[in-house]
Amino acid sequence: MPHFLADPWVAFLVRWLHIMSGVMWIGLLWYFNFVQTPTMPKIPAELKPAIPRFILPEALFWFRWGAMATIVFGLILAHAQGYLVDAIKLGIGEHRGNVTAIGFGMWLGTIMWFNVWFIIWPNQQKVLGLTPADDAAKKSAARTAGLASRVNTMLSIPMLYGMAAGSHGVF
Amino acid sequence: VQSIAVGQPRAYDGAAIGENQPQRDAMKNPLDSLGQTVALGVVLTIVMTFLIHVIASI
Repeated sequence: MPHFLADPWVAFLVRWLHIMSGVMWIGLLWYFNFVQTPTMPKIPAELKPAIPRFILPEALFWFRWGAMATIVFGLILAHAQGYLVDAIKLGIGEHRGNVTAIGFGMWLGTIMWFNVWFIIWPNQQKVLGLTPADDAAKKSAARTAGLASRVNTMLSIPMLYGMAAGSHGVF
Repeated sequence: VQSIAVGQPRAYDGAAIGENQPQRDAMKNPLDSLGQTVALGVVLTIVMTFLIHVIASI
């Protein structure tokens, strides 16, 4: 481990950055699923284009880079705390429930990060017209991105439980 | 009994004739409901809690 990561203040700084970027990521995920998607049918037709033209590109920028920052700072933090490899192995054979809990959180978070960068974002690029797609392809891409976003909303519940339980000694 | 004329869309699962089948199939996905999405997340959390206890004990 690099020497500077052993400093408690550096580890705390990384934890702080991990939590802030995580709030950015999951906050926007929940905004999409709890606010924007259910509200779309209620928005008058003449106002609807403002969402994909102005709000969605900005929101998706902070969403995907929030996800990237969260996983990068999270991996650095787990390494600095010395449980990265054990957590990846879900703490099997370690008899340490907190490592198993955060290991589940890390795996769920990694699946969610993959969904953001390799399913949601490529499909949203079609919806936004950033990559060429006809109307049928755009419709299909919107459906795929929407379902992947819902999967991430579902996984965010046990993911946050694992993260919080792992670092607060519940197990 | 619903009679089906040649060339007309077929009713299924109680759907009205002419209802869009892919749209109806999509609505059957539990993830289309925000409430069911959250409920599934809670169920997964309970299952995960059980698994953590099991793994920590072996």
